[in-house]
Amino acid sequence: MRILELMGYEYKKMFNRRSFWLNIIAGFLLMGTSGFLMLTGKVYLEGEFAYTHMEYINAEKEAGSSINGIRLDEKTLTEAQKKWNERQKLVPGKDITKDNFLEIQREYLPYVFISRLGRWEEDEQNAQMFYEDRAERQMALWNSGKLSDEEIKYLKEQDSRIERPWKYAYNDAYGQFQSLNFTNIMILSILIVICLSPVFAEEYTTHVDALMLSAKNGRKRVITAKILTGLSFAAVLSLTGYLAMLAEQVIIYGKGDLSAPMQVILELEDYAYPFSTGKMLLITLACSVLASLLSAVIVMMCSARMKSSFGPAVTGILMAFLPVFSGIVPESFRGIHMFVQAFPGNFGTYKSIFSNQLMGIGNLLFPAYIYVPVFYAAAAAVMIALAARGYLRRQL
Amino acid sequence: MELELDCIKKQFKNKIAVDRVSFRMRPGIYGLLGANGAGKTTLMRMMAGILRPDEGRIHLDGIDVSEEAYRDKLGYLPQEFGYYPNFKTEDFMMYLASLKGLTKTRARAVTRELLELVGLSDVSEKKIKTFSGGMKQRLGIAQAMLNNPRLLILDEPTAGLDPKERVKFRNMISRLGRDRIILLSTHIVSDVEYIADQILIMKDGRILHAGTLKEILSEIEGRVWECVVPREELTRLAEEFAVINVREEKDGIFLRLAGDRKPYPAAWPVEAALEDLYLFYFRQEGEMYV
Repeated sequence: MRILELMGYEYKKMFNRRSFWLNIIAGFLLMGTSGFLMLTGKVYLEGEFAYTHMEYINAEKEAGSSINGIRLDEKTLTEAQKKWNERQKLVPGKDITKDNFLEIQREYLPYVFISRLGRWEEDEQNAQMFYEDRAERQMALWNSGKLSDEEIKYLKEQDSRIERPWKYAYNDAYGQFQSLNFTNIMILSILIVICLSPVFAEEYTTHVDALMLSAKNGRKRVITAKILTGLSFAAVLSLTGYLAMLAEQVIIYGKGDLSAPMQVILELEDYAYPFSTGKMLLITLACSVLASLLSAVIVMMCSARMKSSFGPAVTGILMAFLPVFSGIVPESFRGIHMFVQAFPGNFGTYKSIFSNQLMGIGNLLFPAYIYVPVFYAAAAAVMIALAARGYLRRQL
Repeated sequence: MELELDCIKKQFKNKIAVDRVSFRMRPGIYGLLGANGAGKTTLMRMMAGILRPDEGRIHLDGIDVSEEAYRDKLGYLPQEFGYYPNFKTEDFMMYLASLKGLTKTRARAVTRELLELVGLSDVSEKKIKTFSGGMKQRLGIAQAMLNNPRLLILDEPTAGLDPKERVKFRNMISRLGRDRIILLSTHIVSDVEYIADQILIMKDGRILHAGTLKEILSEIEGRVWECVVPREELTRLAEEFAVINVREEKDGIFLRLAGDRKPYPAAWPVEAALEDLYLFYFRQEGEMYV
């Protein structure tokens, strides 16, 4: 009860700062804007205005939804390839004009979506080889990532659990959400860093620490209240942020079918984990929120150990930007790659959560969405202890 | 009730701030006098439990300074009183009451009572950042008393108060000092002179003298002098004695001095005051007050 009361005051201190509100408003505006930027703009064919992006997305949504629930079996794939071949032969300017473009798209788009999943690039693609081609691509990917035989065996076993033929669903909303998650994680990390960097440091800069440390509840209970405030704030903020961004994409692209395998989302087709889209989203949200919580713990630790909130803010912002450079670490640098992927400013993207690189302990192998949270829990426990020690020892 | 300081020592790098101080305090008002750097604030911070002594123990009725039960009986006004600028007065008091373990109902009643006592009840809804220095100091005094402390430590409580506020403060402390231990440090000698039951003189981290005003003053009894001297004598006397007062007169310079011997053949001994003692003890080697 006392802790809740103290948490209330911690929130009050946070809400009393004008920078807090400016930060939150700016951050959410930025995320919201980046989410619907795809809707803006126009497309010109042969120099003439043909349609708006919004019209095109609506055509896609309509086309994709028309094949929701269809099984990607031999019959569908053969039909898809036939239509796709027809579409390839249409000549822009002659067969495709600004007047008939959307109509043509409506007819062929469903098959274009399937062709994208199969990564068809030539006319003479063998539709029957859809799943075999995918297996070949997977093997090439796993070999380039220098996966061990045990890892490959594990991933193959996981892959075999995906129900075949796949059930198709137009789940572009979730694909877009995944694509935007990289920037969303970064923006939310920055928001958390700026809002939480004064949590402990403010007491030193305002000199209230002397009053606190000499008060009955000014030590363990205050530390507990501050840590719980930071964690609850990070959890609520990030969950609100991710759900709002997800809702935005669902409004734009439609709700699709959450029971379809996550592999029917473009960019996720070669991943081996046997999750439905719904489960994939839950795992993504859970991992993203966990990453936000770890960001919060890191910032609070810095705040407790540094003299002002400037230091923790700079450290936290650098930490949030670090994943921008994660792409330069090749998968073959296994250790560094796994470490960078687990970084809180990065963990939450499909590449990091559903990474093919696994953590081996004895005979057991663990995917990133299991071992990273365990690592986070251990790291958070150590950092919370360091934060408490830093706060108490600053005066002593 | 007894507060015991047992051979307390604190050193910062090469500087010994508090040097093996031992002292016992019973209910009453204790005035801590000392020059800047004498170790007063360090000693008070250790007594408030926010600075750990390198050596020695502090306990109140057997409760160690590091225990929660000790802090439950403590009220503290630090030299640099901290506050959240955007908090309203009443909210700030309620927060500190919560830190001190008061229930909400009790906190509300005590807050109202204390704000009334320090004359801040009409600004209880105002943000602290709008306060003058004196108002902030009064708020600091009020917060220190929220938990009705048995041990009240006030570091420079009268700093920033105008004369009227200081008199009010002195009267308030006098009333409170009957059933609790109050330790206050100040540079304003008259504050201590008026209200302290016991005076502690601190220099170079050690308690030089402790006792009632009368006991303390007996230390310099017969060593305070007044005289009228020619102007050319002033420099010589200022080098040798602690000059407490200087006044131009038509037949020379009137001086009040403290020293071990008669400073001038025509000088006459006078009754000592606490300010004389302060200047006598805290006069640095070769330091002149003129």
